[in-house]
Amino acid sequence: MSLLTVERLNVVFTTHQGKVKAVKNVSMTISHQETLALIGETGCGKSVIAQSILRLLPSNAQINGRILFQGRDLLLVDEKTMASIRGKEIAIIFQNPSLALNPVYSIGWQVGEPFRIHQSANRNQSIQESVRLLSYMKFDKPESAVKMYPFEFSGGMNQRALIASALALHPNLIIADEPTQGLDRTLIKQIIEQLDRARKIHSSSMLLITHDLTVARSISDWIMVMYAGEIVEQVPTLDFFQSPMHPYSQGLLQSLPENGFHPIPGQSPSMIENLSGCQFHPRCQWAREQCRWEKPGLLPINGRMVRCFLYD
Amino acid sequence: MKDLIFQRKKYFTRIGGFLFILFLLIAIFSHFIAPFQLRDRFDPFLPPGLKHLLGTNDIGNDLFTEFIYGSRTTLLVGLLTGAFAVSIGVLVGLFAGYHGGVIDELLMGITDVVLMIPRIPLIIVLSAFLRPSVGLMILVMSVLWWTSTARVIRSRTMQIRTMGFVESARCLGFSNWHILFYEILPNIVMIIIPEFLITVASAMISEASLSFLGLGDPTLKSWGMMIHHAFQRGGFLNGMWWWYIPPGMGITLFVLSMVFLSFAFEETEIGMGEEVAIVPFNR
Amino acid sequence: MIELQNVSYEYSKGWPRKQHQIVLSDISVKLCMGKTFGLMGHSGTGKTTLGKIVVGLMKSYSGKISFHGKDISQLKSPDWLFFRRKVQMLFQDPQGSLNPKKRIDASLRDVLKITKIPFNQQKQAIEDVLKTVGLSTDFLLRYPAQLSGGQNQRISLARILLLKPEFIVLDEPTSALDISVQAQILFLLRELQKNHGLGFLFISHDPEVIQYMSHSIGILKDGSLDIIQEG
Repeated sequence: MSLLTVERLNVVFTTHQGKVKAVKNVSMTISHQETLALIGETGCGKSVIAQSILRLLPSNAQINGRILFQGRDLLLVDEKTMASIRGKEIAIIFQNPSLALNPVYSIGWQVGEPFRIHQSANRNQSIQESVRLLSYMKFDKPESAVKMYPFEFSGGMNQRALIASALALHPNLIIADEPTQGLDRTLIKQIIEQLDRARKIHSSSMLLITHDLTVARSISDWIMVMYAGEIVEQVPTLDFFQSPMHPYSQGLLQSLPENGFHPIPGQSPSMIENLSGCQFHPRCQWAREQCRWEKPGLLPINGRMVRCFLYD
Repeated sequence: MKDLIFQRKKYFTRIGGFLFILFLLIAIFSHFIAPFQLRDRFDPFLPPGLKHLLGTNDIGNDLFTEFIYGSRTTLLVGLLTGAFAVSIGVLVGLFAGYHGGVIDELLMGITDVVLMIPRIPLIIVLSAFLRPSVGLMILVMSVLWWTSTARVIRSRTMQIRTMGFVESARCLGFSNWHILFYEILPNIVMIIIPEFLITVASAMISEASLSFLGLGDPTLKSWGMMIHHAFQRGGFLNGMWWWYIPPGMGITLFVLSMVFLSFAFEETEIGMGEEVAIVPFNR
Repeated sequence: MIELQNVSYEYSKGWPRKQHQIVLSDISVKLCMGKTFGLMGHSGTGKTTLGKIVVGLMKSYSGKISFHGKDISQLKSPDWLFFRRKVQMLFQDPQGSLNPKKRIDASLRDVLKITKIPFNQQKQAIEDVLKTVGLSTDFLLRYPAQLSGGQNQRISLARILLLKPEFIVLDEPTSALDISVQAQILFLLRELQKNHGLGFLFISHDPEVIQYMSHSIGILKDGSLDIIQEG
């Protein structure tokens, strides 16, 4: 039995500008101790998937489908159960985690929060756990560090302390939503190493959401490419970088610095637009008449799934 | 939970808007709504009845007519004071917040001095020496009531001044005037309107208080004056609640309507977050 | 050409005792039109500060900066206004450069007020510049929050291009963008340089991007500039 199975997930937002189909019929599976990288541009819907799993969507969202976590459909459980799952069985790391730190509480108090909430630790116990976590993160003099405030540390140290805290309760699934967005290379490297290490220690699975291909390459087993709310390719990581099949995947790889920064012409469709046929056809160099009117299905080919008429 | 708050806000805003427009219409169309003239005299001390909805006062004037016409003065004083005071406050706040440095110190120093002046006592003193009139009240209140607006606008301007688009505008070569009035001002309109509403409410209550103390314009029938007359001319002693309660309620309801309306203008931080949707101010 | 001679910048800050910070020290470099000078260095205020000084947003530096031979600190209008238009800066945060309360067409039209293009030519000028940056006129009716990072960056570029600049300081223009969008913007910048002879001061912490875009490269370290490549 897989750890997480998403079946035919559809998320539609009702806004005053109309209905926005953010996620269209997405299905995926993450097995135990596996890392899946969900790749796509900002606005393609990948964060919405993470928020759906965690049931953190705003009220104007309509969700259809099933999200099975360890056999339970998360869309059907009550909020209280969900709250006990979040943070404990499913850890969440959002973009710029250090922004989640409250400047008026000490680092120790905030890092110890998971223990107080999920393990009914009292104040002293949670501080002790914080000391342990901070020393593991190589903070200088952790006993005094726990009393200090976030502004007294660098952004990088805060980031890592928070990640350590988020992962402290041995989660089964780690969902990291753009954890390295906007950071410089050294910090990206540190954070990815930290996540990788944590994953191995806790034997967790990870859903890594990112637009940074290099990051995805370094720690994922599978890559899922999203475009305009749909999955367009689902492939083992090595195969993705060696031989990407979907034209968008190929375009992404061509955009990489090492391949010469070749841009994909055109723009991603906004979530409100509803294109006929294949969502990518206006930007695709191999687009045919068929692509304009018919929608390609996600088909299994050579051990992966691809949504393109080129392979039909 | 968030939704609950939004729902409530929507109802508050609607009630506030309705009341506000209602009173505004009453004030504008007083001629058409009032059944009689202010000067008409009937039997005095009549209780409310079909002909005189609020009865009559000690000299026989219809109280309902007084109430209708009273709205004019009260609203006029409130709205004019609000407009003038907020205009001064916005200008002071914008300049102080944008330029900083010496100009800021100077303007804030002036603000502090004005804050020290006791408002109501000053008007009382002035009324003792000069003829009490609506114009005097509006003038003095406008000159004293702008300080809190100035402070609020100043801090918001200082925040906005550091935002990227202001720097971009300076880089592109826009003049300071353009930046102040075309770039920054649109971003503080949402704060100016609640400030205006609150200032109006405050001015109205002050006018009522001053009139009640007998310092209002005796020739104009504001709600405050009505209450003053009620107390002075035996309305209270004779238990004629229909004389002083309606104007009091009028003031209360109008002030409440402004407060409710100001709820509509609370909004989330502009452009600070990631995907900030365009938020229309009436959700 | 923009030439920097012995440019330094320092400031004192702190309480109770003021601490002296030297941000830039004795920087001399020539920035040519039609070429890109890549500026690298640690995250911090040094690179951005230099960019702002070159553009004239910061005036409290020591040393001399000449634009076409004239010292910019001595310029008076109309020469100063000319300089202001010809040397521009593109900032890092795409959404931050545009007034969130203004529609895109209003933001663009405002810039035209400075250029004093007659009203009947304004519509064409806006259409032309949108075409140059690769956006359709649909975008005119939208607000910045409705646009993606890449699109906002293009609009900011469009605003700058309306002034027909000669030199643009680009402060980490693609750091906040997705990889595919980054490739598009870099491509656009190179095209603009080729077609309009623009000079760039390209600030970035990404060595690969710098390598790809720059003719000359300098590294800002402890306030001093090490020029490691001349192009």
